[in-house]
This record gives sequence, structure tokens and C-alpha cells, in this order.
Amino acid sequence: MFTIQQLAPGVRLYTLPTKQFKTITLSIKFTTQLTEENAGVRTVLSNLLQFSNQLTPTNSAFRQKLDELYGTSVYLDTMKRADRHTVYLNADFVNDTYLAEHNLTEDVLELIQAVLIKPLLTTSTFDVRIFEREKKQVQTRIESLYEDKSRYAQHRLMELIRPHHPASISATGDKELVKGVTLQQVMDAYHSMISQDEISIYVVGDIDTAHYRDLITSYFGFEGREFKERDVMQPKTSTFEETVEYLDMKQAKLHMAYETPVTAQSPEFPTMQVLNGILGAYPHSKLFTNVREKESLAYYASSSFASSYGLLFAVSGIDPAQKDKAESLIDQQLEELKNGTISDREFLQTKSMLKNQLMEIKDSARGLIEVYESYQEIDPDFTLDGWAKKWETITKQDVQELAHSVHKIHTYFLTTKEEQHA
Amino acid sequence: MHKLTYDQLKETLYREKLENGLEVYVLPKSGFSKTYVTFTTKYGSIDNHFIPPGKEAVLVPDGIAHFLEHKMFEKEDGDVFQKFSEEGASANAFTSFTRTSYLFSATDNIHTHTQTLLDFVQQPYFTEATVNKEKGIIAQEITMYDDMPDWRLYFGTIENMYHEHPVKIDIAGTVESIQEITAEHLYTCHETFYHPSNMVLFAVGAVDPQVFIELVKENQQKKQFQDKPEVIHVLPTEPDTVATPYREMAMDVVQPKVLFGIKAPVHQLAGEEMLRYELAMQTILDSVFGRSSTFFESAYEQGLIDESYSADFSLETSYGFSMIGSDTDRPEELIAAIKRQLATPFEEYTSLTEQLERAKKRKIGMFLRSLNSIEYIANQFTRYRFNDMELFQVLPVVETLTIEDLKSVYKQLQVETAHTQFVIQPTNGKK
Repeated sequence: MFTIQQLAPGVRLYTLPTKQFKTITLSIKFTTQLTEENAGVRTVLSNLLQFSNQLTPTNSAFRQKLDELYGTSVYLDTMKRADRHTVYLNADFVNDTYLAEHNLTEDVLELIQAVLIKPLLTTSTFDVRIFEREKKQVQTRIESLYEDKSRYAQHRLMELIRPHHPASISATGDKELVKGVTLQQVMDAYHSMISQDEISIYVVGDIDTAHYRDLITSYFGFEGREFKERDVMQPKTSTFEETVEYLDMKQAKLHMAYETPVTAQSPEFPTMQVLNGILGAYPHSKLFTNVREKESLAYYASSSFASSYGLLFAVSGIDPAQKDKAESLIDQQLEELKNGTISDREFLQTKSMLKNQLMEIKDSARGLIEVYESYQEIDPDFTLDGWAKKWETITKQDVQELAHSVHKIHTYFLTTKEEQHA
Repeated sequence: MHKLTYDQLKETLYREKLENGLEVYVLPKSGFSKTYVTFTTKYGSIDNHFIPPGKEAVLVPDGIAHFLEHKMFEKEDGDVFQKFSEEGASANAFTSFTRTSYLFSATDNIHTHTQTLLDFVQQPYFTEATVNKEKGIIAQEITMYDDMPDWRLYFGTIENMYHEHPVKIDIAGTVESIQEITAEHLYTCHETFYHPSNMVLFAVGAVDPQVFIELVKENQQKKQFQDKPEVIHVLPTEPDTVATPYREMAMDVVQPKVLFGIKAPVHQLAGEEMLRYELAMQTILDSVFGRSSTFFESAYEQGLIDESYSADFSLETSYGFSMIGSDTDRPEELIAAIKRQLATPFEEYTSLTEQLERAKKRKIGMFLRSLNSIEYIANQFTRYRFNDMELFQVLPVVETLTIEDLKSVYKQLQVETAHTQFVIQPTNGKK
């Protein structure tokens, strides 16, 4: 897949030359330890970098520049993976060959260079009001999570089962913590991001790898940094609890969490992907078929596996009065896996769907970067086809055995105010 | 099979109209692994009042097009999703105001999936029992949307704009309206709107045009269809003015939400004229309210708007509207700022020539970028086709936009009787 080149210790360039796309997709990722403080401070930082640099000092100047560069998108945000936090810059721009002009690549790199290396933040003319404004933007973004009730329910569940743990720390940070972030903290984070973070640069498109290596080196010239060995996160164990909370809303959200000793690093990870597929990842899965199609209890009912943390989730949106029925129906689906009640059909369907989903990634430049990055740390020789082969040899017996290691640890029910007073 | 080549875009499109009226389009994309096929009928939530061929006019319950979409997946021998899953295809469907689309994407067995797609959409199977069972599922879907503030804001604004036009009816209907739906209703709608001559099949990706078209032909020749029906749509007369200039509601949100709607006068446009109008409107809206505009810069600096800000234009044959909005602590001030901006005479926008050139470059780049997404191509292509527009004409038409085009659409945005606002205020139960 990607060609990997080390530009300096701790700085890697991943390139994938292909004529498939009409654009060039670029990602520059700065990664460090995930802590509550890092998350909040670095999200404010990414907003500040997005909005003010020495080349295009105002937001509208920046936007106009992007328009002139044929609608190039340059977008900064933060993300997390396992116990690491990343500030990333994503850019997409048209391949020169489709345009009358032929300098687009270098113009785009010059703008990205300004965003990352020449921010107004580090100059004496920096307006502190911009800092206050962007800090408030980040707080609002964190607060608005509350308006998406299923995301909010999942967030609450994580806080309950893994408090102050990477699993529950949001990549955007905590609202109160962001409120207290100082300009000094942001500047310190900026310097440490540029000089100490692990840096990965991804480029996908009709490019020449050697040429890009030169371009990236001359525009950014990131110096070597210490490479920190990553710890493998150990899954935790807990006992079962149940929580009910009430909000002013109409539909109730039933979110259940299960612990497993399996993480992305375990040899059983591919089996867990099959297990999750049979249980609830697809429209043919047990949850969709039973909770939705047979019993008409929900519009959505699905499961997902958080591979970094060894956590499996089953979620659905239901009528508040149907909680017990839905919960026992969901429990029953997992019991079926433990009993080995898996039809040939659902077993094969799941394998075909897993494979197809992975193969479809080939058609998305952004998807290739994200999938490669997450799998490469599990398997340095990762390829899409190679991973798909791992599913082929898995048997029903394997899934059944693995199901016995899955334990329910929390039922979180977010329901309506009417239920509270009933 | 007709072949259309677009040199600048390096794309070739194949087209064939079958005897039964079905239009088939194929856009092969070299280097791609998956194929995405959509089968779409020109039938959406607004088509709720019509005269089926040789029958009396019918007014069907709200939400029926969407209900029908759900029910197409269930057959006597089980769920169609299962069939797609067996060979590793992801299937889906969606209903909009004007279209119902069924689709799959897959990296393998494209021909089997295409047969499945054609067959399940053309062979209805409804019973009172299966219809009643679906009511619980859709009721939960509606309830889920009821809890989404941004959806309520969007629909609240559309309801404000329209007096009579069925675009003001929620696509999924209401929990009450769907109770009235019967198997017979579904058969009537299917018979009326799912005739091949009212549909488009579009395939894009790793697909051989010749083989694909032959396969579709063969599949269609085995089926009997009545002659092309003449469906008469009954659309109410809709004035150009808004029905309600202002409304608000309370929800459990963290800060107020504002949406400023501007109703477009109904043109019944089609073809290149419609494309030109749409592009001109998008361009002026971008220049005046987009993220590179002085309006955005100043409102953002004053803290009147935040990251949730958007400014969009939507257009179909019988309706159209612009919407500008954001989450804000100061809804009245934001509304006043938008009104002030719209009161600015066109002549005062002195840098429009420059802006227009920039907007053209932006549109060219965005369009080329969007051609990386086969999902985008399939969905947009069909929308354009149903309005007699051509997706691949976007760039040539953009190139010819003039300041005069912008001026004439800007005047429409300025008409105060076409303005409306919807505001969601936080309830006291806020966390």
C-alpha cells in the first residue's frame, strides 16, 4: 500500500501514487499522549491555526485564498486513537493536470506551511481576542454534543464505565477544562507539537514519491525528535451496573456496554470483528433482524466494537415503555452467540460484508489513510487483501468460544422526563 | 447505446433508453474497485395528490412515499437486505421531497446484485400484516427526528415558507398519519410511480457499460409493463410570499438556533435555464453569505455566529429556497444583521467581478473533487436528469455566468415578503 520514508527520526512520509483520483489528498498528523489537558488545549490550538496565519491574517483572506486555489480544502481538527491524541491537517486539492494552471501544488503547500509554521499566534501582533473567541467556539462545540441524544448517551456511558480513562476522554476535551485554558498553554502546546510530536504525513494521488519527499522537506523541514515506544493498553475489568437518566426528549436511548479481553492487538481481533458483524453491525445481523424487523421495537439497533479498549456496545432508540423488552431481546442475541446459534447464512453474510466493506475503502483516498493508519500499528505489513484473508479461516466455533469472554458491564438508559414522574 | 465523452473531465458516459421507457446510464471509473448502482423513481413526498391513469384523483396519507420505500424491502420469502448481504453488497434507500432511490454498492457479483435491485423494486409485495408491523419501526424513526433540533429547525422554516405546497409536509409523515396507510395505498402508489418510464438506473464505478446494459435489457424484457401511464399531479397554487414570517419553539438545546429562509419565486424551470438559475443563486449566496464573505467575517468576529453556520440554496421544479442560519446567543441581532445585509443595494458590492472569478475557480475545483465520490455522482446525476439538467454541463455553464445573472437573482433574495425566520429557544429544563 503506502511507501514509508523516514524524513527525520519520528517524522514519516507515507505516499500512495495512484491515477484513480482527480485530486491530491494530504494529511499531516501530530501525535502525542492523550490526556484531558492535551485534548482541550490542542483543540483550541487547532482552531487558532485554522483561523490566523501570517500569509492570510484574517479568516476571510484565508477562505478567499482557498477559493482561488480552486476550492482547495484545508481543515484542522483533533482526533484520538487508543491513548494518543492527534492534531491533524487535512487538505484536498485538484490535480494540476485538470487545470489550465500548473502551480497549484506548490501554492497549496505554501498556504499549509503558513498555517502550520507561520501562525499569527507566535507573533507580537497576535490579537488575544481571537484566542478568546476560538476558545469559546471549542466550548460551544463540546456543549452541542448534548443536542445529539444518541452521541450524548454514548458519551455518558463511557464516562460511567471508564472515568478519566482514554476511552472516555473526548478528543475535543472537557468543557470546564477548555474554559480555563490559557494562551501560554496553547503556545507551549504549539511548540511541543512542532518539535516533539510524532509526525506522520500521508499523500494519496497522482504524485511522484521522490518529488513529494523533496517538496515536504523543503516546505516543512521538520527536525528529528525522540521516538517514544507505545504502550499496549491493557483491557480493564468491572462489575455490572445500571444507570437511568432523564431528559426532555421523546425517544429513549438504550446503550449497553460489554467488556472483552480482546483488543486490536489480540490474535482474536479478526474473530471479534466477525462476532460483532453477526451480532449487530449490519442489516442482516441479529439485532436488526430481531429488535427492528421481528419486534418493531426500534428504527435502529446495532453493535460496534471499540478495538483499542476491548469494549463492545449495543445501542438502540426505543419507546420509553419498551426498555425491559428490548434489553432482554438484546441479551438474548448475545446468548445465541454463546450457544452457537449462528446460521450458515448469517455467518457467510457477515464474512462477505466485512470483506466488501474493507475492499470499498480502496475507492476513498481519505479512507485508505485512516484504515492504513489504524491497522498498521497492529500489523506492520498490513494490506487490505491480507486482512480480508484472516476472516476466511474463522469458524462458528471460534465465534462461539469468543462470545463466552464477552460480559455485560453496564446498561445505560437515557429516557424521557415523563418516565421520571410516572 | 449512446456514448458521451467529456474530454476536460476525462469521463465517458453511456446511455440507453429501453423499450419500456427506462433510462439506463453507465459511467465506468477506471481504477475503482466498487460499483454503485442506483434505481430511482421520480416520486417523493410532495407527490401526495395525483390522478392515476384512468382513475379518480387520490390524496394519500402523509409519509407514504417513505413508507413505501421501507416496505419494498420485505418480500414473501424474506428481507431483501439479506439477499444483498449474502454476496457482500451494502444496500440502502432514501426518500426525498422529489425522489425515491434504491441502491447498492459492492466490489463483486455486480450482475447478481443488479438483478436483485431491479427485481425487488419492480415486484411489490404488501399485506395488511406487514404494513402494520412497519408502523412501529417508522414511528420510532419519526420520534428520533423529533428529538433532533436541527431537523426541527429546517422543517419549521419550510413550514413557515409554504402556504399549500406539500414540501411543507415532513417526508416521513407523522406518527398519526402513517396509521392510515394501507396495503392498497401502497399498491396504488407503486403502480402509478414505479413504471420504468418514470425511473432512471445509474451505474458508476468498476462496471462494463456494454455488459451492464445488455443485462438490464434482458431483465426488463422478461417483465410485462402496461403502456407508459399519464400521471397527472395535482399541485396547489402557491403564492410567492411566505405563509408565516416568524415562529419559534422551545427545545432542550444549549443555545438558540436561528434559520433565516428566503423563498424563491416558483419558475417551473427545467434544463439549462434551471441549471443557470441554480448556479447563479449559489454563487451570489456564497459571495454575500459564504465563509469568505465580509458578512461571515464580521458576524463571526462579533460572536453572532459559530461553527454551525451555513448558507445554502435548494431548488426543484415546483419550489426553491435559500437558508442562512447558525446557533447563536443573540437571535434577534443575527436576524437583523442578515436583513441589513439583504437590504444592501447590489451596486454597493464593488468587488463582485473579482468574487465571481474566484467563485468560478472554486466551483471548478469543488466539482472535480466531487467526481472522486461515486455516491455523489450517482445521486446528483439522477437529480439533474429528473430536472432535464446535465451534471456534466455544470462547468461549461459556470464559465458563462455574468454579473447580470447575479444581479437578477440577488433582487429575488431582497424581497422582504419572501423572508421568514424560525428560532429554537432553549427550554428551562436545560442541563
